Amino acid sequence: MYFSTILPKIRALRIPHSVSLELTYRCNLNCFYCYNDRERSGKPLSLAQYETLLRDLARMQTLFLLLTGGEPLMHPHFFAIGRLSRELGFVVQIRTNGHSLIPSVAKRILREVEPYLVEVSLHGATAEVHDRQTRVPGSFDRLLANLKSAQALGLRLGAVMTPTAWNEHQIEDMFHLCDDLGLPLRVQGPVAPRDNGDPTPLRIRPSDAAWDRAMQEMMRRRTPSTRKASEENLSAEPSALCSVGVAGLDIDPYGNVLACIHLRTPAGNLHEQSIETIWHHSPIFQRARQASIQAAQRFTQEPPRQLGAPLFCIAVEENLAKTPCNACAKFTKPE
Amino acid sequence: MASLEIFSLHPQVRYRQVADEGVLVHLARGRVLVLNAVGLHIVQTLRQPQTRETLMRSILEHFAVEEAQAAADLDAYLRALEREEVLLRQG
Repeated sequence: MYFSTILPKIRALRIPHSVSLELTYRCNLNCFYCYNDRERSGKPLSLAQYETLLRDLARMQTLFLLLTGGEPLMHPHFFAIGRLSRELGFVVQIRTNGHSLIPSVAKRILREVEPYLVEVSLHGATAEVHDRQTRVPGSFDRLLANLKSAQALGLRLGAVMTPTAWNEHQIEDMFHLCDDLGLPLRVQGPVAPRDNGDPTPLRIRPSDAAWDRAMQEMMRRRTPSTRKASEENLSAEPSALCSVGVAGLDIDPYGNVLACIHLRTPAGNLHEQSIETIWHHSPIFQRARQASIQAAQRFTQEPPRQLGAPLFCIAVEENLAKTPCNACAKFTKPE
Repeated sequence: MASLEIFSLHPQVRYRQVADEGVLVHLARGRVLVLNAVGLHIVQTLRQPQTRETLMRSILEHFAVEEAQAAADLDAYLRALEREEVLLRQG
């Protein structure tokens, strides 16, 4: 019902049902393929501005609120924002690298923010592989310890992995590790140029076969309800690749309002306008929607594939277009 | 005799309106429910704890429905919400 009747209605009415807040680009890890443009700067939103924003979003009927980054736990007002999000009735999800999820922090998150899900990034099934990606020795062992204690406290946890040339030999092991921990593991990607077009992450693009194996492992673990959901979702709206521009938006730490976390052309800025004004009047959302519909038309005969991944993201295509051609030639083949 | 039972929403329930329907998420159970117009009205009314009688009155004020039918539907709906642990009953 949700996927077949409500989501199409949300899209038709243009309700910003899902909103992601990139609270900060600061991070306590240093991931090799991080997509964030760390040179980006601006005037951060104040706590008062976040309070106004959250009240506006609640009135606009936003339900799902993702707190992400960078590392969202490094934002000085993370708990104040999280508490207000809970009080205003959002379904809060936190996406973190898990490095700061020590028991005292996990306890506060559970008590004050009451998130629906805390999703952590997993880069390998062993310390050697995971820490190679994060470039912080000890991050794997610390992550596992934090996950176990947070789970014991009662936080609902999930993990997300991106196949890379460095971890593709451990894909099945990563799924088994998460099975043992009792965590669902989601696959995301592909490894792509950073948001500023820097192609460096493409150096660790995995083989196409790695993607196929990762998707097989994920499909094997689908429950009947998630299987039904994805089928309903597919049948409900075949004309666009995603809900960009009509069902959600992203807000960066400096108040820039974006159609999607990876489409970096701002629709407006919260230092100058309200979220309601930007959402209802900026043409950026309509442009993103059109791009998503046009991209879907390219895949009516065959399934999408992009950088080896069985998907197609218009933002990745946009970032690839920013990348110098010689860099593409050098990096787009797996090493 | 009026019931002294008080109904309230489970504290781990979140919901929003989508046109004349609603989406409800139960954080603890990981369940997503779709609410029709009457269901949305009941859940919105339950932002503050209510007795069955105040819920009933509110439904009759907002929807063109016979009292007997509304009473039967309300009782069935409250039972369904309790089964989903969306609702807490006290008293």
